[in-house]
Amino acid sequence: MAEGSISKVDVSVDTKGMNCPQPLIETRKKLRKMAPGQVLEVLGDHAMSRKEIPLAMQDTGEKVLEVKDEANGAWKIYIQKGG
Amino acid sequence: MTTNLKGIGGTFNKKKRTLISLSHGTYGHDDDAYGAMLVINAILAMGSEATLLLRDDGVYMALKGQDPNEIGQENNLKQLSDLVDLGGKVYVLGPSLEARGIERPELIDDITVIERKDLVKVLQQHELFINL
Repeated sequence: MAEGSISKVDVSVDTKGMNCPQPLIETRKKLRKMAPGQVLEVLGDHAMSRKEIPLAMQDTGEKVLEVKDEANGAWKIYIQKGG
Repeated sequence: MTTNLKGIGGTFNKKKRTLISLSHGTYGHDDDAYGAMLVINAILAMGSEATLLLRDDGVYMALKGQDPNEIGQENNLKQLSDLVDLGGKVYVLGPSLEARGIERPELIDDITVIERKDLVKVLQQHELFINL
């Protein structure tokens, strides 16, 4: 999906300042409460979690829509909850 | 299927169900309790199944309202809450509670007290074991 094409975010979680694995834990906690098809926006700045979160979504039915780098090492990851 | 779980090191088989058994007290034991919580919550967040078994002095982990600030440490109740929110289970060994004079109402809500006879069944439900 092209950058900036996320049209709707249903839930957002801010993990800035957290270290691995807490950003992944907060991401999964949110996803467990969401309905299939809803989009989660994850904000963070921990470099390892930027790689680890998409990796963790591979086998659990979630779809990583976009990983977007921001200034000063921050990032945003958009995940669509699987069915 | 294996997935490289770099965040906690090594390669981790996501199909295996993991049981982490904690027998140390919550504080002052080289962070075994905190380490147990870190690992089990990472396993759950990766999408696998995991269970925490508290036995011997490990049962102190499940006491309500712990406030270890005076010894310069934080309690692990947030991590225990995360574990439950991630779909994990917490078992506490009943005889370990009795030996320490701890009653069920003193413990957090989201745990299950089991007896020694239940241990075999719990062990049979898991393929990977970590003892701390």
